[in-house]
Parts: sequence; structure tokens; C-alpha cells
Amino acid sequence: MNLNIFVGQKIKHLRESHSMTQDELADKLDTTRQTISRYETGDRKTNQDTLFQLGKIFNVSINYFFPKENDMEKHDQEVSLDDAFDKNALFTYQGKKIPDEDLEVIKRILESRRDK
Amino acid sequence: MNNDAFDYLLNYAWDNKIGYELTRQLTPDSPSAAYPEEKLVIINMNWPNEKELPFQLAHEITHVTNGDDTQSKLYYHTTYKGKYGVEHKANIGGIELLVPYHFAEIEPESADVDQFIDAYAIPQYLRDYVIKETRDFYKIGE
Repeated sequence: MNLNIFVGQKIKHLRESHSMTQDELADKLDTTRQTISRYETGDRKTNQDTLFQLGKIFNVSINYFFPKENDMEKHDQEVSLDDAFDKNALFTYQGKKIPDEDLEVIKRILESRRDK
Repeated sequence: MNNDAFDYLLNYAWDNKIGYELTRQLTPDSPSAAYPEEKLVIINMNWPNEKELPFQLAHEITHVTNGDDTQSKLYYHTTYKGKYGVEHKANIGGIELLVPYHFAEIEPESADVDQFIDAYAIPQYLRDYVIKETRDFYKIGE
């Protein structure tokens, strides 16, 4: 996937998960709704200042916006997954790793099911 | 996405007492998942290619119906990758669930395997298994 589109989807996901409109996010970044829309579709590349500001607004690290490729991060994820889910009891589609930022969401889903 | 196929699979899960969570809280690069011990599947509705979702759902349901457990995962996942792995078996099970649904109303002479593969964005390396399953399906139907 094109990196601009990947970053755009991350921005859109963060904005929507914070129930924020494009206009509201535009205000926070001192820009226009059209610009936010173009970031989200990947038509426009976000610069480092914008990503830094977005990280602050949504309280995520700048790494959040990029695909995870390196082995070090994969290794970290395996450890987190083991801790969170009783060692490998969870099967992910085609063995793909769950991103760090989603582990809590999965954990919450499992916990809520167990409570039922 | 083929919503009818997705609904068919959700009904199948329900009938087989398999729980499902269709979530929009995950990031787009998070995989769908199965938790066989809890008879639960989690589908990431933010997945970028919506067409894949019915096959992902069928794949995860198969993990649960196969009763995949920690041991099988450790054994197959680390020792036997490829055609003997649990992921591969879940792929085959996913195809076995979708083929009878998809071809139910289609005459054998009109059955188009590539159209099926395209409709559900099934990985091309599974084409031979789709062909086999489709042939089996029509033999059973005769």
C-alpha cells in the first residue's frame, strides 16, 4: 500500500475513534477541512510537523502513523501478545501480528466476553 | 463487500454457537482473529479491503470449528509451515464454507472459479483448492 494512503487511514481512524469531525481536526491543526480530507485519502503528504502535532493531539507516538517492519518491533509484539492472551491461544488472520496499539482493544473485547 | 455472504456466515456462526465481535475500534492493519477456547471470532471491520471480510470471517470460524488450540498452533506454526499449518487448514475450511453458499444457485456450466476468487479476494495460491472444492460441490449436487 502507498505510504500516504497508509498514514491517511491511520489519521482517519484516530479522528473517528475520537468522534472528531474533519472540521474540528482542521481547527486544531490550524488548517482547512479540505486539507484534512486530502491527508486522509492520501492525496496529500503529511509533513513531519503535522504528524508531530497529530501525535500530541491523539496522544500517540509518531511511529503509530507508519507500518511496522523491523524485527525488533515484531519481537516486542510477540512478548506483549503472550502476556495479554495466555500464550498463543489467539489465532490471527494468516498469522499476522496485532499492532501494539490494538492489543488493548482485543484484550477489552476478550474480557468483556468473559464477563458475560 | 458481499454482504449476503457475510450474513450467511454470521448465521452459520450463530447456529454453531460461535460468538462474534465485529469491531471498528481496530486500526486498518490489525488482523481479524479467532479465540477457539472461547468460541469467539473478532473481525476487524476497518480492514482496508472490504471484499476480503467474508473470507476472513469464514477462515476464523474454521479455527473455532477445528478446535485449534495452543498446542496445535505451537506444533504446526513453528514446525510445519505451508500446507500443513493451522492457518492453511483454516484457509481450506474457509473455502469449504463459501463454495456451497456461492455456487448454490449457479449451474455447473456457468460456475466461474476466478469470479469466485475475485469476489472474496481469496489469495491466488489457494486457486487449486478452490477448483477442487468446486468440483466436489457439483459432484455432491448431482
